[in-house]
Formats: sequence, structure tokens, C-alpha cells
Amino acid sequence: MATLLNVHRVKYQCSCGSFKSLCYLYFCRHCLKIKCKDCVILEVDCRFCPSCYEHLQSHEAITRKNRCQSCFSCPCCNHTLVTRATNTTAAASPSLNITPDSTTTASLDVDDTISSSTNVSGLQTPSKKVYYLACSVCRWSTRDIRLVDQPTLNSWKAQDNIHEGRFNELLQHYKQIATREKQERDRKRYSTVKLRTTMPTTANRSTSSSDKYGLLAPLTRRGIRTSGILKTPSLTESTNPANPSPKSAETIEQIEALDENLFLNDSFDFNKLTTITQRLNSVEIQPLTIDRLYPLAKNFTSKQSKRCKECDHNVLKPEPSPKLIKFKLHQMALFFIPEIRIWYHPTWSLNDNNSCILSIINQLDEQTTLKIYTLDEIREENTDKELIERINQFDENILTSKLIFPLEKERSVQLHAHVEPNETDTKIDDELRQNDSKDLVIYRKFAKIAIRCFIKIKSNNVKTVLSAFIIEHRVVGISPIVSTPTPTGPNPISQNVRHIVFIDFGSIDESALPLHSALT
Amino acid sequence: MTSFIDSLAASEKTAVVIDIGHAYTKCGFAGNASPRHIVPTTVTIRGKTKHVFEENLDITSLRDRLTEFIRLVYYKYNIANCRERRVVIVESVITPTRIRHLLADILLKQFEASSLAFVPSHLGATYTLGRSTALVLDIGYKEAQIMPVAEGVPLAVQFDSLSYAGEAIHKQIQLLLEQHAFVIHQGHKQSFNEANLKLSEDTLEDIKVRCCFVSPFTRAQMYAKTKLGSDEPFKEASSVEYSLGADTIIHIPGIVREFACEILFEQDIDGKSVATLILDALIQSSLDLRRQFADNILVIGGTAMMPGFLHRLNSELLHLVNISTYVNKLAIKQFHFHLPPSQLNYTAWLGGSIIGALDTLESQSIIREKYLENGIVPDWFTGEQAA
Repeated sequence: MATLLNVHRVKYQCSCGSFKSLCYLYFCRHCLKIKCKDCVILEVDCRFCPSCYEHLQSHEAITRKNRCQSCFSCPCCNHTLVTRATNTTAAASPSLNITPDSTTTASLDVDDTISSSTNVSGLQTPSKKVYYLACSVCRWSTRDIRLVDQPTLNSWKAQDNIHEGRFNELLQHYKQIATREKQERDRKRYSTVKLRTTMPTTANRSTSSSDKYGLLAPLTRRGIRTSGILKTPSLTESTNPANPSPKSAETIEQIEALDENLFLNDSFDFNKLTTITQRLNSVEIQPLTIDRLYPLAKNFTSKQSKRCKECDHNVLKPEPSPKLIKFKLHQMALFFIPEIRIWYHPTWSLNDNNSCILSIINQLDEQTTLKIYTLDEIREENTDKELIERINQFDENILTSKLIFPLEKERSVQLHAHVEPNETDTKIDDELRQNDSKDLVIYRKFAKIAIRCFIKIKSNNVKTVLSAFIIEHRVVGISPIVSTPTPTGPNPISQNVRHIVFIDFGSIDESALPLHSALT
Repeated sequence: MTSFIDSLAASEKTAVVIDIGHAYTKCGFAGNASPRHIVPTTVTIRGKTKHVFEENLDITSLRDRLTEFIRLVYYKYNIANCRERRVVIVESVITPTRIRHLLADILLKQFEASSLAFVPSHLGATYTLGRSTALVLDIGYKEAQIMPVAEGVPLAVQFDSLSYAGEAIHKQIQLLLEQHAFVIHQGHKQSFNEANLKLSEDTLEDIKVRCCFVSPFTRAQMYAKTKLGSDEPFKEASSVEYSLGADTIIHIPGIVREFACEILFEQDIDGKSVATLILDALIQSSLDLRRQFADNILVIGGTAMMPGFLHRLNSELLHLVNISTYVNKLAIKQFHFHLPPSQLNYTAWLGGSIIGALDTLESQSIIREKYLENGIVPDWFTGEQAA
């Protein structure tokens, strides 16, 4: 899948080891590591209806089964249904001709538009408004299933589940059995501790003398002598006669035969049957024919906040209101780590050093220094064992070419702060340009620079050119909260962090990219 | 209408119940009378919809897809936090061990659920009846699986399965269309074979769901006779013009509609069919239980919802007990079926919902802390026990 900037070509390594593009990564400022989608835990922040933005508290939403009360979806095509009003007069004139339509754009709030529709009829007979639901996309309406138009707005009731009563009966019955079983198991545990001299578990020891749960009271009442016998009282004798257990299911008397009229006749119209998706949309009823479809209450969607697994701090926290799309906490890796993109690569030749150009874009609001290392240099340095371990593993299996930079060592580039597009103050920019080494940094404009690198392909039967290098930069993190509250707040700690950047240049047969005029 | 039970169950700590089938997944909360959603078991990766349980998938891709799918189930469909909630997975007893281990790993380590319980689907189905003894036949997409449950104990040793289920019906539809149907493509009429159309699973499913049905026993016998060259006229069912896209119409004759599902009842080279599954299970079970099982047969699963299925199954059973293979082995000549308080495709889920709402759930589950310590997923098959 190609994107405008080909974001999937350059990947950064997350702290869990997987490689993802920078736009999909988060940065945790407490552990100072990159986190990806799999390293964070999602938590539901806010539940809301996607068409009317009604925002509910979590417990309320759960009782409403995560469905909106006033918005409905078309059972045919799943778009939002629009409430339309018509006037019924006392006279027999059909009200369809004088239908004042509410606006048909499905996303608007339905309530406002209904109240503004006026009585167009010039007749003096008393008329009242009745409402029906209609879909503006597939033209289905509640009139198709012969539902009577409702006089009030919010009177579309959800269909009942006919089996619910029986289910609740069964659930009650099993719950009783289960609670009894659990009590007995607990009672058994406590009673053995009291009498036998076997080793009690530590959990029981604390509660054996104190009758914490009131389980030993009936036992002690009956006398110590009964507690010596470890019998399991059978369930039947302790059945509470007040709650009889429900009848077990009865078998069917007569199995329904196939409705031959429906299926075998020439009048069979398969278009009158629902598709499987339409059936599964209403789970409890699953109607066979389209005249039994019913409007579906719209399902809620949610906003989630993401939390780093290691340090349990939030990485991404949206605004709780469904109408605001900003974030309270927005620690995306894009805001902390400079972004690297491929700018140019020549047609690949197998034996020489191919000269390529990478661009680095700084998204931070301040000037940063970026140090660039090749993989070999890190290995020589031999200080960071873990990083070397990761590099080695990676290098053996995946990389097909070696990346080297023009300067021999100590490559550090200054990056300008991120600026607005029409910024004109070029003083700092000019200064930085003067300090650049011309071999490495070919081009500089505010926050974007271009650096040159050389790719040497490892062997002859390479299909795609893959290589990697390391960048290092400074981040300002947030230290964990200290126990004594300091008046200045948490001390920021800044640290150098290193990231492995993995570049996929593409197939080896790909021709050279066009060279930008500024780079020649 | 929320009943008292529902509002009790509607708390932050209700367990999540998921029944991951091969074709469809049923998900919802414990204690509810129906799942919240029934969704196809697919994920969308980079714009393409892919099946989670595709054939021959290596373990890392399977893991990625399963993780993505579970994430969808939790946050898009159920909208529930995963942390500190219990999970109940309703599964078949013959779920491959690697999938069980993957699920345990993903749910307990990555999503940090507080505990995980695996519930066999056949056992769960008996809970929905309020009975402890039943012979449960689950006909889903990949296979038809039968297992007797006696006094609340699933007799896993007598488990049996046949691959005559939804997928087989799809293949049969494709086959019969090639033999009998013709296609009108941009005005030209051709036979299906010539047109060389390979229908996708979704199209086949749509044809199966809307056009096909299970023919009654008498008609099937008549048709079998006509195929062998009898003179009696056979009145076909009406044909259907099925449109596939803008310029292609498939003319599906009545024979295809009616007899695509015959594959479930036609005895194959080993003499097996869905009906013989039941009879063989009865023969294998001990004598004292046979009458009880025959009086309490429960058929569940999406494919069993085809119109006319249960009636045909009953007729087949009544016919088969009187022929040579079974007449001497089985004294039972009558069978009784149950109807669960749900649609057949989510009965197993309903059983999981009941089990998930009980206090004894904890003793049946794998607790997260224990799993992180020893990594054991108790399995009846390998004999591993929880520590």
C-alpha cells in the first residue's frame, strides 16, 4: 500500500522489538521508550452514540446495552434512520402529499428539525403530527413493515426477546446451585482447619478462629460432635422449598415440517428473504423475511485512552466529551523523535557504494542535536550490550545491505526547531548551515535537512534493499513522582536515547527516484 | 426491558463471554440472554479483509490476527475494558492446543484479563436446557460435532465429528451449479462451466442462506429414484435468477436449491452422514444412558437453522434405525428433540453466559497470576492440570 510519503518504508524499533512506522508509535515520557500498539493497554474513556453524540456514564451505558435510545439504523443497509413527520388530519385525505420533510442529511440532530416543521395544510381541521422512520439511502421505512406511525417522537420500542423469561429462570436456578456449592467448599475448608491437625493454609489460619463470614456459626450451633464428620450434605436436603427449581426443558411434540408453500412454489421470491448480515444485525430475532425487519437501535462507539504497560502512565488521553477531538495527553512518537524519510536513491548497482539521500525532519519545538551512528560503530563501541544484542539479531536475519555515512565519526547534526510554514527569520538557520559539514549535510531549510549516505549491498541475490542505522538524541522526560512534594513540581530528567531505524528502500530493480533540484 | 438479573449483571465486573467460531463469533456479557453481536471472524489488515483462522497460517501471523480480532471484540463490539474482567471462551473440545495457548497468552498476558475459563460448547448448550443429560450435535461451518453429556459430565471420549457442515454445503453448491445452472452474462447465455465462474465464499453463503433449503425426506427419496432412471415425474422447486454484479445473472434451477444440503444426509463411502453420527453415538454409549440420550437430543449451530433441517433429520433417523446396519444394534426407535431458549446459532454462547454469571466461575478458570508463574493451560487432551 503506497502512501503519499511512503511511511511504511522507514520504520523505528519499538521497545518490544517490533518495527513500525513513526506515525503508529507512542512515546512514554516516564520510561523514555517508544511504545507501539501492542505495548499499550486500551481503556474505554467515554461511550457515545455516533450520530447524536449523546454521552453516557459507563454504568448507565451498560444498562442500556450500549445502544442509543433515540437513534436507529436501517435494518436493510445499516445507515442512520431519519424521523419524518406527517400530518394526519381528521379528514380522510392522505397525508402523504403534504409531508413536510425534515432535512434529509442523516447526520443532523433529529429533534431540532422536527419542531420547526410547520403545518402546510390550509385546512382548518385539527391535525396532529405522526412520525415514522425512513432511510434516505435505501428507501426503507417503518411503513414497509406496517408499523403504525407514532404520535410522539421517542416511542420506538426495542423488540423483546421472547426467551428472556425462561433464560432468567434458568440463570436463577443455576446461581442458587453455584452459591450453595461455593459455600460448601468454603465451609469444608474452614471446618477441616478447625478439627484436624493437618497444616492449614495461611489464608485459613487468619480466619479460622474468627468467624469472619458467619459460616462456622451454624456448625457450632449444631455441636462440635457433628463437625468431626466430613460429609457433604447433598443438595436436595438443603433445597429451599420456597424456590422450586424450574422445569427442565420439554422436548418438542411435533417437529415443524418445511413450509412447502414458501419454498417449493413458483411464487418464491428470494428477494423477500433477508441476507445473513441483516439477520445477524438483530441477534435475538433473526427474521427470515424482510417484512419482519425492525429498526435497530444504534450501537455506541467509544473513545479510548492508552496506557503504557510498564509504568502504568497514560500515553494518550482524549478529551472526555465526544464532540471534542483534541487530546488531553498526546505523547505521539512523532512529537519527540525526528522523522526520517527517503529522499533519493539511485538505480542500484551491486558492487559500488550507492549514494542515497535521506531527509530528517524535526517536529519538536526546540533545537535538538541528533547523533547518527552506523551499526558497526555501535558494535565497536561495545558499551550498550542490549542494543548490540538487538542489532546483531536483526542484522543476521533481515538486513541485506550496509549503510555508511560520509564522515568517519562523531556525526552530529543540529536540527532547527519546528517552525510555521511562512517563517522568515532565517538567522538561526544560516548559523547552523555554516557549521554543517558539507559532506554529510547537503541541504538545510529550517527544520528539514538532507544527509547523504552510502549503501553497499551485501550479496548478489538480494531482492529488496534493507538497511538500518542508529540515531541518538536527547529527550526530556518526567521523573516518577517523588514522595515529598516539591514546590517546583517533578524534576525533569533528560537523557540520551537511541533508536534503531530500519529503512526499506524497495526492490532492487526499482529505478532511481527523481532528484530534487535543491539537492544537486 | 431490563430485568432484575440483567441489571445485577450490568456492572463493571461482569465477565465477557466470547464464542469464537470458524465463520462467526458471538460476543457479549455474562448473564445476558443474548450476545451483543454476532460478527464474522475476520480482521481488516491494510484494507483487506482476512479470515482469522485461514488455512496454513504460521504462528506469528495467526497471533497478530487473533490479537487484532480480540482487540476489536473488546473495544469495538463489546466496549468493555479488558483489565480486571474475567473472560469465558466457549470452544469446541477439539480446538487445537496451539490456538488455546495463543488465546491464553494473548488474553492473560497482553490484555491482562483477570482470569480465563474455557467452556466446552456442548456442555454449555445443556445448561440452556436445565438438564444435565443430553446428546448435543453442533453443526457449524467447518464440521458437525457430536458429544454426549451425562449428568453434567461431558463424555469427551465419545466425541465424534464429520466435516459435513456449512463449508461442505458451499462446495456442493458450487459443484451443482457447474452441473445444472447456466449464466446470462451481458446478454449471452452460457452454461456455468463455460462461464468459468468461481464464486466467493460470501456469494455462496448468500445463495445458501436465501435460496437453499433442506428437502423433506419423501421428496429426497423421489429425487433419488428419478436419478436412477425411474419414470415417475418429479416436480422441481422453482428456480431463481440470482444476480451477481451488474451484468451477470445466474439461473439457479430448483434442483440446486433443494438438493445442495443433501450432502449432509447422503451417506458417503463410509456410510456416514449427520444422521449416522447420532446413531453411532448412541451405539457407543452405555446401555443405561441410551434411552436418556435418545429422548434428549439437542441440535445447535448455524447450519442447523436451515429451513426444514430438523424435520429431515428426524425422518432420516427413523428410516435408518430400520435398515440393516442399525436394526439389530439399536433397540431405540423413537427420538425426541429439544428447542433451546435461543436462536440455534448462539446456544453455545448462551451456555457460556450462564456459566460466566455463576460464583463458581473462578474455580473453573485459569487465574492470571498462576498463569504468569507456570504458564500451564489445563487441557483434557494432554492431561495438564492446573497447579
